[in-house]
Amino acid sequence: MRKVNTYFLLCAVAVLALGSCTKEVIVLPEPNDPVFTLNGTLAGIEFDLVAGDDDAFMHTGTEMVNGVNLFSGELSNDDFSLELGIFDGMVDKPGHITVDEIKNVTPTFARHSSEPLLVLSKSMLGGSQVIQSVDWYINNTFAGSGEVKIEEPGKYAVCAFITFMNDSTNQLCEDIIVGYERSANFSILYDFQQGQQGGFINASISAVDASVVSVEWFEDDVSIYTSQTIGHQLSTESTRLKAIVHFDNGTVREKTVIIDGESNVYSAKSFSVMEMSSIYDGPSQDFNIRLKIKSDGKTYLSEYANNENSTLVITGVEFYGKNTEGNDVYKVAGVVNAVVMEEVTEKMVSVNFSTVFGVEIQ
Amino acid sequence: MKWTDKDIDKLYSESSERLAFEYKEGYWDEFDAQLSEVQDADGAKAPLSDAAIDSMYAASSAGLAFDYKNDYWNEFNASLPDGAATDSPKPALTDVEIDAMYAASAAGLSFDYNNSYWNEFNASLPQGAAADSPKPALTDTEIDAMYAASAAGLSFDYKGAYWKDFNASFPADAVLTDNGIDELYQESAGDLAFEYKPSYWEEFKGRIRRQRRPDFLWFTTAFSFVGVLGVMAFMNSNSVSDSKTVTANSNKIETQKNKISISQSKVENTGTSSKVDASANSVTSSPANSGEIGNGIVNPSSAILPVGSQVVDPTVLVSIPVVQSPVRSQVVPVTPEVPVLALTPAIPTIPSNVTTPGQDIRPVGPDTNTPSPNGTIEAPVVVETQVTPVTPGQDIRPVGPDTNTPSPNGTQQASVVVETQVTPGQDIRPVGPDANTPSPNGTPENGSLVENNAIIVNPTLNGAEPNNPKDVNSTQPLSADELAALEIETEVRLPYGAHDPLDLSVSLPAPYPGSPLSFSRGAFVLAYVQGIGGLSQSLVIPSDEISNSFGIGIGTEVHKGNFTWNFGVNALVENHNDLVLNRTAKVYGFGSDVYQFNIDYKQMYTLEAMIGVGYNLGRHRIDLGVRPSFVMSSRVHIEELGTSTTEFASDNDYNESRDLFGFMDGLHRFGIKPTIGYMFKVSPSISLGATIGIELRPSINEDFIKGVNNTRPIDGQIYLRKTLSFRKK
Repeated sequence: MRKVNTYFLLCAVAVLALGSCTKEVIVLPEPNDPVFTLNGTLAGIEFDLVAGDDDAFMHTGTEMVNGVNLFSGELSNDDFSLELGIFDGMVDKPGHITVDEIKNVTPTFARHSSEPLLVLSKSMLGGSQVIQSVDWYINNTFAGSGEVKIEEPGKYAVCAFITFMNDSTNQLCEDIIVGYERSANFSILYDFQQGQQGGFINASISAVDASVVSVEWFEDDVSIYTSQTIGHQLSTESTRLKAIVHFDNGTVREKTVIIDGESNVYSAKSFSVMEMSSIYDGPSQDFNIRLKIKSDGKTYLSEYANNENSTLVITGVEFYGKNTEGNDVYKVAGVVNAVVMEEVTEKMVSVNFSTVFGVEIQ
Repeated sequence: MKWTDKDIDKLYSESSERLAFEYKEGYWDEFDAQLSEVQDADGAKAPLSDAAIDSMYAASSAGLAFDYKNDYWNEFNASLPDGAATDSPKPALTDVEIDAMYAASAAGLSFDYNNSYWNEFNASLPQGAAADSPKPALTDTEIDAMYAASAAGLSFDYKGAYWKDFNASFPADAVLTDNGIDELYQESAGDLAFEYKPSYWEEFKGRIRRQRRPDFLWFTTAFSFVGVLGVMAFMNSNSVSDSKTVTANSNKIETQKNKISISQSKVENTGTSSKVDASANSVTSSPANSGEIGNGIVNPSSAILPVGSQVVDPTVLVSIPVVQSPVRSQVVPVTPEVPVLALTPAIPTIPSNVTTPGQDIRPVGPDTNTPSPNGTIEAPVVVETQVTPVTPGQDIRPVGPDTNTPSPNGTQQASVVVETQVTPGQDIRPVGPDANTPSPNGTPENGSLVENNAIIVNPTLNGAEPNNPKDVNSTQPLSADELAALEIETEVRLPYGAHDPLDLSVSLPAPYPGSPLSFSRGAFVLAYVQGIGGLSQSLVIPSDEISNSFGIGIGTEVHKGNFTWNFGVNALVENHNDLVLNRTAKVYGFGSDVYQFNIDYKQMYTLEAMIGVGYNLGRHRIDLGVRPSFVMSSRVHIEELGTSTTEFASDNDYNESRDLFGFMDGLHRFGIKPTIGYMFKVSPSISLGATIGIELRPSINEDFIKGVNNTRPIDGQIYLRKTLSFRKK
């Protein structure tokens, strides 16, 4: 019986040995259908692009346009390219989720305004009686002295280097939102009481469009209070009083005023008055669409064409993956009927296409 | 929309460019009418006074408003050519400048041309300068060159509608005639060429073969084999009828190991079977028997007992080393009271002084072919042997390799290989219920007389229990190796009508006595191992490659009668040279990655079961069976080519190759082959055989591998089989 057992044992071992051989598995990639496609006509001429065919590639990225993110994708090859960008919105809400908002809005095309949206001038700050000159810096770039026009929507970091009539200087820096919806806003109000050692102020904020949750007060960038109203003793120097206000809708705004602590004569108002006095009365650019097409050496732009009657119907937005920069890319499926202007001849041509486009959205 | 100054300026400049002024006489008349009505004597009107002019200007400009800004003047001034004072006359533009300005302006313009434009232009020309005036005629060469240049970059997709439109464009009386069409066709056909390649035919044959009905060859061989079996069975039955003798296995004793030993044991006949009472095994050393043993004479009582009889006589086992010589039959009369194997007086006694080592013992009895006149079973035993003298009390052991190995109780076992004849109606059964079943005292109960080719006679010496431990007191059947080396020629003669002549199981002696898994009436099981080598047609077509395989196998054979059922498993390594899988996958994303895999299946590792039945013809066997198979794994050589269409495509091309195991895409794992085979017994334990099988199932996935399935590829295997023994030695 021992041999019988040995025989069957050997048989079992042989079978197990065969069955337990190390097996490597090759995962052959499965072919799939094109992901990003573009098919339509430009001025009656058909175009058809598929990312991955004919050297076409879907580039995605985020461009900062006047302080606002433009989430864009460009499907292009050597002969044709179409860039579709979506401007961010709710620029005063740092915590908003762009993707969710895009799904819920009816997108319209951004329109370039032919007139300035805002004029920065010293008269808005306090008048020529007290201000000798102002040097304006926009996004850390010198923009001019005296009056500076802002012609495109955006969220600008504006700094005014002010020289008062008494030759004192100070700088006032704020973000100015123009051409986009402002979810909430406020201005700083204060009463000045002159004293021997400097003025005493009772300051508060005047908010619109949302309720104030909290206010942080800073004197020359040093935090001093966290209440909505304050009473504060100033020195005799020119002082910057800054308030950061958190609203209940998530909006966070920041305003600064310059107070002459000695007499309150050489003071300057915040930019709120300029922001609110913007002469731009067009639609906001929140989540608007921008088209840029290059074909046969010509560039076509949607911003300079009248797209009031154009349509962009988004039929789906879904997450696709990450691009080479590691940012999220969403597939946006839609149908576009719009007008674009040829950049040189300013000729208006119609463009119609359906697409599944890749857009990086952070 | 608000109109800004810039917009207005732009609009004005665009509009003013389109303005033209052509003086007409009517203008003056109109102006003149507005002059003073005061006329002098000549009828001429008096000039307007300044006041009148001012009032007229004021009236005409009353509705105009214009906010002047200095920027307008600065912009206008900047637009002037350098060096041109604002108030000074501008220098005249040169033709080149005008041409450049025109070209710049016209760069983006396009318009739809109509014939009317030309007509209008033509009409506007002065007489004598008509646009329709004859131009110098182009030569044919110039026209051809122009045509060739124009047509060089043209291509078009043909659609059936074009022909219809073309045909419809003909006037009703200008449709192409049949002759014209024929001529066109002949011209076109003259340009065609066809290059024949042999692979076309191979591919065609492959597709045809896949659609045809199952191979005629397979069914022919299968039915032929069945027919052969039937014919052989019929021939066997005729042989028995004619000679009244059924010859089962013709075996010969060719070994020196065999021996006949005589022991004593007690046989208990239980009516249908005899058992060996191993506890009673002892060497009979009584004088009565010792004399016979010493004389080399087998005691008449040492014989096979009829069924139901009680045997009380002692049996003497004679250990006789067998000389390599054929065994011949000797008829031994059997009576009911006398043990069957009554070697005396039919078998001459062997004097003790004769039984010297190496002595040839031959029977001197009657003709072995002569039946007994009294109808008893005649068991002619002719043994050429060397007999060792046996004396009373002498320890008799097998002379073979195991002679020195005592049984657990100190006894020895041996077998007697006998050719015998059986009396009609005599029941020949195994002595014990199972030859392999040990008795309670540990000694095996020895096998049957005929079926195990062992004679175990269990006499009791005068009813006394033998108790001399030095004597041969037990029997040990020959080991399987010994048995395997033993070839027995046994002829069982049955009186006419005694048995069903076709009942082969009765007449056939077990070919391998002492098999470990013996079944009743001659069925027994053997195990084996085998080495295999084979060749196979390619699994794909077109291909001229021949695949080969090798491996090992294990299995069991169940023998019953002349039939053998075979159950086994083979592990095979199959080598192929033409199983190439090309797979290309284009994966789209931001761009696309194209993966191309060239996978060459070098080896397949297959488990193959064997299920078959064979018919034995002496040392030959013909098998018919089926071999289901399962491809467990493979060894493939993979070459991977990758191309990526990305921003940096040139950096993403790669080429890798390697070997790996276990890739099974492109293969169908399960297969089944009907087989037909032949085996030849080189020796009792070594066989050499060959089988031919036809794969019925497609082996490859045509979606992956180049070519198409070779329908019914034929393979051949040869094997060398070693029969295993599990008996204790």
